Amino acid sequence: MGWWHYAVSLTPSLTLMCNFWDHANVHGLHDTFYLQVARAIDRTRREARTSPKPGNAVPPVAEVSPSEPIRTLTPPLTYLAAHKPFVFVREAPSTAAPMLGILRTAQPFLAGAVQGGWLRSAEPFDKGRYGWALEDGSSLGGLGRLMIRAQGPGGLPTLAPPGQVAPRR
Amino acid sequence: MFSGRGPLTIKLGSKQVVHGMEVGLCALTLGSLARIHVPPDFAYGELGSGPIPPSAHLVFEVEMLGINDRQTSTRNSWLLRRLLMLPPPADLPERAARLPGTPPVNMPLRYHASSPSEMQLPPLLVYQPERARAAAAAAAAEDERRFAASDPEAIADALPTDSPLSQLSNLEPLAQLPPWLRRLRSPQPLPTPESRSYFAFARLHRALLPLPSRDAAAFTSHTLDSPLDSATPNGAAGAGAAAAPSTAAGEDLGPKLISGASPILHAPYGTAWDSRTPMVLTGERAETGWPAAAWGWSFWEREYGDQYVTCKQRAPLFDSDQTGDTLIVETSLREAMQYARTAHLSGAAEAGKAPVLYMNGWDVFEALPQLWHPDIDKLPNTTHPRTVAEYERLHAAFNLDSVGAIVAKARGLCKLFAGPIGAITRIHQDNHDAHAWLCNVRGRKLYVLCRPEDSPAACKCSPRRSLSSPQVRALPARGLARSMQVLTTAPALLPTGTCFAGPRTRSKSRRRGHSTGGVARSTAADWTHSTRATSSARATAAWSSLRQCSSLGRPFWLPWAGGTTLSRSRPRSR
Repeated sequence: MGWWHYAVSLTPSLTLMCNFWDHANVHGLHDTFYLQVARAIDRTRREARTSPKPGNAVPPVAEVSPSEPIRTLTPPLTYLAAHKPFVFVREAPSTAAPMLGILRTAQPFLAGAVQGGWLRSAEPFDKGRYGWALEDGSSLGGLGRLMIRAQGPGGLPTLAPPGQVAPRR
Repeated sequence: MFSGRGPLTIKLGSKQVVHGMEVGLCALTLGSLARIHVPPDFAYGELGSGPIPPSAHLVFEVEMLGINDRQTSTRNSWLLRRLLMLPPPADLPERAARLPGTPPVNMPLRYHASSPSEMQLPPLLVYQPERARAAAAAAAAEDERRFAASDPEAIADALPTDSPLSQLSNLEPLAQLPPWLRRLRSPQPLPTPESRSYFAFARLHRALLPLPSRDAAAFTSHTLDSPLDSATPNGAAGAGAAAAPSTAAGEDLGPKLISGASPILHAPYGTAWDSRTPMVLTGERAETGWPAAAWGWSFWEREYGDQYVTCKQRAPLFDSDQTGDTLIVETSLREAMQYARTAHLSGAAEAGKAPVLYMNGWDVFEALPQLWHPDIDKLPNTTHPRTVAEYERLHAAFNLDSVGAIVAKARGLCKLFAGPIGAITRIHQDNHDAHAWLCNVRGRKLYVLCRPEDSPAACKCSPRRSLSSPQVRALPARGLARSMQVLTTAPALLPTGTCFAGPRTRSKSRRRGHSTGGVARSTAADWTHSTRATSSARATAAWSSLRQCSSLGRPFWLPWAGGTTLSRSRPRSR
């Protein structure tokens, strides 16, 4: 977690800014890198599904049945990404849905609802959109558990106040 | 562009239109609205043609809808036309006739606005025709000369004729004035060394004038007249009020500006940095020749003025801002620089009716890779970045082509900001836990830093999101106030940033009679300025306290509408 910062120009100002990573925060650089990798993988898989080439396998799809009920979690529950090096977070409970982002291994995810083995974020994940993470990847070539419940008293702090019903999306 | 029958496509050089219009079109950028005046020598000459009478001046009103394969949005074109349809000056032909050569182009800025109130805004900037550009460059050079003058006689000669400072019988105090104050033009009285307001101002900008103790006490009382006082222990305010402000070099005025604020570490260039704590680098860089030190206003205007940039009413922008309630101006770098330097002199700015637009986060080295230098992003002996090495390792591990990619990534981490007085960087954290250093190449900023551990619980959760307004309001006022770290970044004091380092060269800083800028570095966690950001009433209050500490009901030097802008902003993430 970084410092919050705010600034105001007292005079007309020209400022040069540079971001960087060192030994203390290099994990942040890894996050950016893996996000790029995830986007590349997602793009490749999407192309393989939409324009399959002879001899190439079409990536399997895991998605929720439309008849599957959605169950809200009150209060929200904290899960941790268990898969290495990351878990996809998508716009809808389907591996064919657009990607919203990733969860790095051991990164917590506050789930506000569950539907057919998919966890929906308790708060908007990106650009006002809620994110979905697949809990178990067995149907995707034996990936195993992708998300696990966080243990410990109370888990991590929750984003939504107790009793709030997660909006349906 | 439009003709009477609709959009008209023109291939430049094909002589589809008169030469003067082609010249005018070449001066426009995508989305520009312009009124191009073409003298007869560049149109149909003394003979005329068809309905065009002899020696006719032509006026074209054009909107650049597309260039090559790039099209512009027409969402707000009605507003643009409204701005453009202002009647041309009655003496336009006469004035144009006095400008041989390239025809003049008056180009109101292109606006993206949806708020009715913003429709009323006058064009902020006027595009300069070629010859006017040369005049502007000469004026900028003169401005720089005047700005840098340290001799009282030279300063007096350079003062605006309407400056009340020109009436002073004793010129010595002029040399003590902050350079930028000398150049202010205002219909309102400028402060004098005898005035209380000048005193507060001078103290704010540190050690510019020796002041008697009675004035120091007065300044202190203003300093502590802060909205945050109620949120801080009484002891802090009392102790501050009893002490006269020190003018020792390197002092952080932050604690004096905001009760309860902690001082920030100051250290000379080359000091090793503890990445857990913000630091301001003071003094002068040991090494010379850091290229960016010379990148002042005139440099950008003269060398790269035609670069396309955007200026925003809110910066950084968050998702919730992209709903049409934020003013975004597309313009040239030249115009953005001129605006940043002079916006506060406009009547609208003085009245607080003009938006404060900020050219923030311009990817300068992507646009101008030739400016990149391997030393640009270095702070020798202070930081030990692993950015490039780690990128190289990851690219090798994933068998990725890294030729050119690594350097491009490193370049992309450096951004240029140009803002007028009052331009605000909304409170936020940097993305991906990135560190940052900020260097005020020109000008001064106030920075407010809040400790990460004082973040509300919501922002410690994952996925990390931006704060909502209620979450910000729920921040414990006392805790946040205590955690504030304030920097006033006069070049002589504290340059900017979270890990601030000063960019100025030794020779320039001496010539200007003040010390170097500094570099500030902090562990700010935000890279793209897009996530986990929010507006903050606390930051607004902090700024308000600064305004009060200067005893300035006078808008001429604090004409910013920044507080208003900040309070209007809404939280969001991207």
